[in-house]
Amino acid sequence: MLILLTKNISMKRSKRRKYHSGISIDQLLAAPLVAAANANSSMAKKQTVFLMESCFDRYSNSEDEDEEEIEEFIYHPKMVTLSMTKNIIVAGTEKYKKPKMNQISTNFQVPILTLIPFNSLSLTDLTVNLDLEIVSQKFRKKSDNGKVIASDGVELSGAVSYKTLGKKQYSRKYSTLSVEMNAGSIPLPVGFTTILDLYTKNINSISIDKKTL
Amino acid sequence: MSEQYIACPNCKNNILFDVNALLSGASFACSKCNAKIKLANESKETVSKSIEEFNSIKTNALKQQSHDKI
Repeated sequence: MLILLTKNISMKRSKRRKYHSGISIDQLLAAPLVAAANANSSMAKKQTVFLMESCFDRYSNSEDEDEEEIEEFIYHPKMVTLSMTKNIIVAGTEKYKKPKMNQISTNFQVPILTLIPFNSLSLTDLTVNLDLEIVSQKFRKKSDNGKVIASDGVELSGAVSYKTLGKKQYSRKYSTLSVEMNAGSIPLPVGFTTILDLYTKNINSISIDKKTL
Repeated sequence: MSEQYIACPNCKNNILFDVNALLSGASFACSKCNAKIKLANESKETVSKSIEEFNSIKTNALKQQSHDKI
């Protein structure tokens, strides 16, 4: 019986000690930052997967179907057809002396990549508001052979803050951590804009024989 | 959203266009040579599918971000 009682007391003490030592502020602040970084990376990954799967056709380059060999792929851009109409003036003939305007239509192909309004979405602003009372601070020290040589930083711990109303101080049962995130467009990666530029600037009209069509 | 341009196959001038308007059948004229470009009927489905997929990726990513809010 006596043993049980002492066990209970020691458990209560350890809980109290834990509460008074507070929560690590480093961990509290790091959590929303890590979540934001994860969101950004998952968005970038999804856009890349979309780009490779929806804008390119993939062909295998390796001839042998050997499993041990690393498979190489060649990506060809998926093409879509646009039609261009323009007016041309046809000189008058002997019969119809007046020149006339004819409308001609030409079909040309462009990579679908050039039509999709790509933009890099990402989290641009992240505001973290933390309402905690700092209850303890520890100085981390580097030691060399038992001798303290330099201070490595401060580790802060926080707990529920007190709310003051007039002269009285009330303790609260909760504390707040608010995170504000804003998503916005950031410039596209240089490699991607270079590919886009190459495709866009190389739309040339070439004549194809009717026989080859 | 940033403006989108495509090179005119006739004169190389940049033609400003909007992909949603292209999908709805609109044509865009070159300011230099007055050539008009529009999406061919056979490609409408392909472009429409890709745009839908791209928009859903963006919407899902934004939803995921709002879930990550603490």
